[in-house]
Amino acid sequence: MAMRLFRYRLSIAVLFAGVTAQGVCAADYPSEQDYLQEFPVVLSASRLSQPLSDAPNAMTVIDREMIAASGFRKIPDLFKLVPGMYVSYYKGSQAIVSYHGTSDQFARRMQVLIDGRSVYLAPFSDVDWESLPINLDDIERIEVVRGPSAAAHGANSLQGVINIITRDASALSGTSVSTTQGTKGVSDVAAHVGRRGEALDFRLTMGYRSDNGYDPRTDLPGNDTLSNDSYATRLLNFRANYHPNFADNLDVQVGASSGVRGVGFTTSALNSPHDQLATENFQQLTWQRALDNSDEFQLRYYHIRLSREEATLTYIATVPVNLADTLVSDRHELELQHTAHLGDANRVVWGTAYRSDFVESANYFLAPIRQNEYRLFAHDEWRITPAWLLNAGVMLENGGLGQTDSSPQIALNYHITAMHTLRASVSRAYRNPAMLEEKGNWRYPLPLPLQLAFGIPSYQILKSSGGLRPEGVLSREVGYLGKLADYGVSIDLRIFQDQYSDFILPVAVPAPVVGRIFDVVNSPASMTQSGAETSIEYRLAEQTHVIFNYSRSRISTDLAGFQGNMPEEQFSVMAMQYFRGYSLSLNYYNQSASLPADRPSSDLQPQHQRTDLRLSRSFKAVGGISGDVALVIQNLFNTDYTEYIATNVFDRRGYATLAVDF
Amino acid sequence: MRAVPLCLLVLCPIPCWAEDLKVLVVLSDDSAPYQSFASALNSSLPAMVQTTVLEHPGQFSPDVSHADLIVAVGMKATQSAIAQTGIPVLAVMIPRMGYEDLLAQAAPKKITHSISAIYLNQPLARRLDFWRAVLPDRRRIGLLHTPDARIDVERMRQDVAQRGGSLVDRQVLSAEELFRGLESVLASSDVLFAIPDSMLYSSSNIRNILLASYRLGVPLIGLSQAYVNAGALCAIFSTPEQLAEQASATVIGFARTGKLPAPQYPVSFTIAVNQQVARSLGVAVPSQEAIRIQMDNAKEGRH
Repeated sequence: MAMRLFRYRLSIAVLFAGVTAQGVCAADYPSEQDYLQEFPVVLSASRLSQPLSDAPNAMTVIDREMIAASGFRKIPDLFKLVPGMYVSYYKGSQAIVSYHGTSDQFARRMQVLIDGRSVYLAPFSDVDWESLPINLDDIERIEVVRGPSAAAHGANSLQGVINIITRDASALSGTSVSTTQGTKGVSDVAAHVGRRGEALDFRLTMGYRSDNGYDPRTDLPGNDTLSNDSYATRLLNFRANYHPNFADNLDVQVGASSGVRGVGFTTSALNSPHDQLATENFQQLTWQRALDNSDEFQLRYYHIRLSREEATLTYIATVPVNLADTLVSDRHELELQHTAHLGDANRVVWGTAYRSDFVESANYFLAPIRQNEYRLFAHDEWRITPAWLLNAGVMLENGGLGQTDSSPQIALNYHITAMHTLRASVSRAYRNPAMLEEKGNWRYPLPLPLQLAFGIPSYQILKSSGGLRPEGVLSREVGYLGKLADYGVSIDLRIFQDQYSDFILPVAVPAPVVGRIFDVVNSPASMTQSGAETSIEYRLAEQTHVIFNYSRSRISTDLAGFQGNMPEEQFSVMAMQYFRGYSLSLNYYNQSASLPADRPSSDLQPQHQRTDLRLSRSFKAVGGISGDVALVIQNLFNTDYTEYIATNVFDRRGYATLAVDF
Repeated sequence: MRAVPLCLLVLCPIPCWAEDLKVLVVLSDDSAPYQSFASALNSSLPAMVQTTVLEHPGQFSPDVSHADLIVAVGMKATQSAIAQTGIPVLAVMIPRMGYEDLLAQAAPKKITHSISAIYLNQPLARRLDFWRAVLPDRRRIGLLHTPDARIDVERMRQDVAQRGGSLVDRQVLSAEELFRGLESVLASSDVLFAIPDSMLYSSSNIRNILLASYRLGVPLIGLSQAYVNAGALCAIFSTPEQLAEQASATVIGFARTGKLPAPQYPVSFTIAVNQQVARSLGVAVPSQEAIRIQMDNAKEGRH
């Protein structure tokens, strides 16, 4: 109490001091200071997103409106809203997100960034989506670059880039809590707290997410847990922004998650149902300094640590065998970036980065692996005339496995008018082999009796002979972006051809003693994927918003298993209607048949359709409390389609969400 | 365009000058905008006008009152200059409302000397014409204000409606309320219109105002170059140099006639556009020439 009184007096004293110092003018009269005051640079180059018509690639932006209207609870599902994107699940907690398919259980060919932090991790070159310590509600928008973009987004941007931008530290002032409850064990809770201050803003998220995953194909009535792919994840995400003066900006982010997931299959002797424990944490620090002429300097450091472990007990010839998987992956990265304007018409972004990955796993690798990567990048945006825009960039990279790649990109955009743009682009990009592909030694040690009986020390699954070359792609595309403002219509069209080289593949080879194991090689086969994608958006005033996506592509290759690897045809419609505090959205997805390259023919995903419905109503209650209640029904017509593996059946499910802000 | 006749005035030989005119320029302080004004005024006045510059109103005293005219730069300087007696005062770089407040406060003392002003702020009609010229498709103007701003909302609503737009206004009483007010205004407007309101548009609030408006795709029309540098889409304002040119013409007129004209708004103005913000928001901003022509036409149309 005494303290509070003191503070109160102090603030009055400060107030009076201010009045005396500035004279009577400042307090009583409008002053010229309203016109003469200086301001910090707020919307700096790195905060401003590039307009789609100036971008060197086709891009899909998923904003908060679309996230809400989709009704989705999990980040990977959002990519169903991107033309040409394949989203499926190996397990309820193991999503596969892949642009243009060409994927197996690990979707390796896309870069995934969260606020510039690469969460595409080194051991398997995949993203553990369920471990990411962010909530759906923390996302401001997602920019999905469709096509290679190494110069702007770094290594492994082979087929595209998912760029998740989370909400600013200042985006929320107050507290909001929400809960989602539904069928199939859906039970989520989240709390968000945010404060804005003169020099410091912060927001904090705590979340819990769980469901029972998929129903098994051999469904027993009322017994959903047989598939053992239920999961529960707890997470924490914190972001603070400190801006002590007009020029400097310090962004601090930390996050942690911890989850338990069901893995394994009831039908598998060596992979029987058991739990996997996964934890992830990250720390990220970004310092930005605004320079004259809208130039900017940025230094970013981050660390990500992912740890997963699981063990299952099995019996081989009545001898108990413990099959244990452990993995710890640590990543540190330091990146320096400078944005410079060379006159009004030319902007250069260049920089350099150092990344170190350290991976330890007793069963995937013989010894801990440290891999250091260096890269140098530059990207130039040159407005040759108001109508012609040239984007040119290159990234030089030393991936730590002895090779140096250069990934160039050049794109020319022609603004026919302010509303219509044509784009032509050529780029080359590389994917470095995952640690498992280059140095994998995936095996489970056997107990002595079995060692003696079989004459081998361990049960071996994969042994890489190494010496892989990076996988490359040469991508060519033409695009059109148009706006028919009078009709509220905008159109995005892209026609592409991607030629892959040195495609990295697992191949079965005879095991040293008996049976077969896998090795990983660069395939000499050629592979070309070509197709077209379009996205058409329609807006009628504030009430109606419809997005239609269509993609069609073909893979031509003599590589076995890759012809039908991805759905040749996909389309989706998102229709949103708003009226008097209600919002209704109807989402329809249609995907032609496909068979993932690493699955047997029994896992063929037939052509399927799915319709989701979401209805929500916002309300205002007494005492400044407001909120939102929503009902979502997924797969409304219960089409029972199967996911990446045929044991995952997606049937109708529903849930309700209540969110309250105060 | 309108600057031309002023330049001619400056260049014309003025035969009625019998002797040198002594002008005392009083600055509110020695900061850059006032200094720029003083040096621009100095260089645009003919040699026959003798100027003395006081960098702080505190230096002002009856001893230096042997000037023929005081040019008071800013509120503090104007306040000091009004308080003295006898010498005519031309107040410059002050907002109209501030000037009128000072006159009202001094009124009981019966000011005998002539006083006039060249305002710093643009007339509202000009700012609204500017909005229509830059963003013809964004018709819903968002306005946030505190009671301190003393803005005539109904008058502004009419002016906006007259130009085919609608006003979405919200009064806030504290900085805490600012963001709720801001969010509700931004949700239903196409452009945010900054007004001189030091409680809202301060250097500590501008960051969150700009971030929120950018997030919702609603551009801000600012009040100065500093707004545009910070991230406002555009602003219309007069620079100290432009005001000095107008002041110089007024001083020369005074030398000729011995009278000050009625208070005036700035004649010349500058248009600033943040092209990066415009591109990022997908706003096609017309060229400076097109904006000025459109504004001229709008003004002509009303006369």
